[in-house]
Amino acid sequence: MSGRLARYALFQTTDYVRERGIPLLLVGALLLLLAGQGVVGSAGIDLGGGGVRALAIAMVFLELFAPTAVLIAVNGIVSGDRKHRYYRLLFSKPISAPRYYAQAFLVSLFGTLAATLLVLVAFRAIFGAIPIWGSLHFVLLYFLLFGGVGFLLSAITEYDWIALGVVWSLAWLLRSWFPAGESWFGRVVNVLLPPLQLLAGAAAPFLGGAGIDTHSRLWAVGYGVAALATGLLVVRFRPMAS
Amino acid sequence: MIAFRDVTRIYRSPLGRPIRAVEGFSLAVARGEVVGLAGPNGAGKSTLINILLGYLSPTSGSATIDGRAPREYIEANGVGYLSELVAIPPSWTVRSALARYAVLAGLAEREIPRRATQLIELLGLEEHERKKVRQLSKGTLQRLGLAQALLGDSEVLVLDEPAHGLDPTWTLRFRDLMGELRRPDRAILTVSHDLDELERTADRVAIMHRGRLARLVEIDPSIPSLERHFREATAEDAA
Repeated sequence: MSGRLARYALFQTTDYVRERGIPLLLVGALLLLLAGQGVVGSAGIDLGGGGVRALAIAMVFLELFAPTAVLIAVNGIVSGDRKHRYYRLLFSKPISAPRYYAQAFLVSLFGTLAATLLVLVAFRAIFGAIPIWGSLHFVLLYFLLFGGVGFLLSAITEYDWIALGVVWSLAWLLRSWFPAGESWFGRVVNVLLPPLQLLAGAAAPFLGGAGIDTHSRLWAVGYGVAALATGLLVVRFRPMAS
Repeated sequence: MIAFRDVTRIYRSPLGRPIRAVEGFSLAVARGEVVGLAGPNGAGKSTLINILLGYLSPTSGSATIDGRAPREYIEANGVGYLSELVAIPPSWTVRSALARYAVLAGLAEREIPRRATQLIELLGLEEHERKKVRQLSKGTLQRLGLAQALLGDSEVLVLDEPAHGLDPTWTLRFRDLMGELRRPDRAILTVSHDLDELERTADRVAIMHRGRLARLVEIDPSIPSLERHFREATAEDAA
C-alpha cells in the first residue's frame, strides 16, 4: 500500500463506522432484543438456564447475524462509488483503484470484527458466557467467503445486493437439485458456486470450539479470496464510466 | 503533454446498434498551453474526458498523458480534475473533503491545513468550510470542486465546465484565476459550452460536432471570432 492510501485508511475507517458500523450495531441490538424475547433462538422452547440456554440462543443468533453483518459491510463497496460518480474525483488523484478498494475491504473486515466483538460482549452481559473467539472465528470465515463474493459482485454490477441474493439462492437450489456425487453437472455446480453449505449450521461447531474441518475451511477461505482477487481485477480492467 | 490520437469510441444501444460517440479525434495539448473543447450536447466531449482520465477505453486510437497511458500517468502523478457534475459525498464538510483529497493527492500531513486554508480563501469558501456538501449551493459546490482540483499542484488540469453554476462575480474571478493557473510546465484542457469564456481563457479551441473534430481555432483575443467558427462548424444542426 502506498503511504497516501495508508493515511487515507483513517478516513475509510470513519466512513465505515458511520455508514456501516453503527447500522451493524443497531441490527445486532435488534437481534439481541429478539433473542431476549424468545423470538430468535429459544423460540418459546424451554432451554433451561445458564450456559446451555446462552449457547442455544447464540447458535441461532450467529447464523442470522453473520450474513447480515457481511451484507451491511460490503454492499455497495465498489458499486456505490460508480453509481454516485465519486470515483471521478477520487481516482484523478495519484492512487490505484484496486489498492483503494482492497484497503476498503480490509477496513470493512476489521470494522465488522470489532462491531461483532461489541455485540458479543453485549450478548454475554445479557445471556451469559459464550466462546467469543469461536464466534469471531465463525464471523471471520463468513466474511471471507460471503464478503469476497459480495465484493466481486459489487465490482461487476450496480445491483450487487440483489445479485448476491440471486447467487446465494441459485447455489442452494442447484446444489439441492444436482448433488455433487450424482452427475458431472452437479460436480461443476459444486465447484463453481459459492460453498455456502460449508457454513450452514456451522455456528454450533464454532461455539463448541472445534470449528469445521480444515478442507472445508480452506475451500471457503480460498473461494472468498479468489472472488476478492477477481473483483480487484474487475476494478482494474473494467472502465469506471459506462 | 496531452495527446488524443485518432480516438474512436463506439457505444452499443440496448438493441446492439452501434452509436459513434467519438470518431477519429486527434488533438495535442502542449505544456504551457490552454486548449478549450467546445461543442453541442452529445458532441462527444464527456466521452473524450472519460477516455483521457482512463475511466473509459477507446474503441480504437489512444489517449496519452506525457506519453503514458492515462491510468499509468495518473496513478503516478495525479491530475487536477474538475468534473462537470461535482460528485462529493454529501456528508463530508468542505474542509474535510479538502483534507481527504489532499491526503490522496500526497500532500504532507503538516501541509494540509495550510493548503486547504489557502484554497478556501482563494475560492471564497470561508463561510462554508464547516458546512456539509449537501448544504452547498451549486456555485459553491463548483468552487469546492475547483479547490480540490488545485490541491495537488498538478502539471495537467482537466476542467469540465469550470464556470458552470458560478454567479457573475465568481465567473469574473474565475477568468482571472485561469490566467493565474497558466504555467510553462502545465497543460490545461477546459471543456465549456460558453464560447465567450473559452475565447477569453484558451489559446486554441477544438470545436466538436457529432463526435468529430469539426474545427481547431487559434484564439486571437483582439478579434472575437469563436462564435462565427462555432456557427459554421455546427451549421448542419442549425439548418
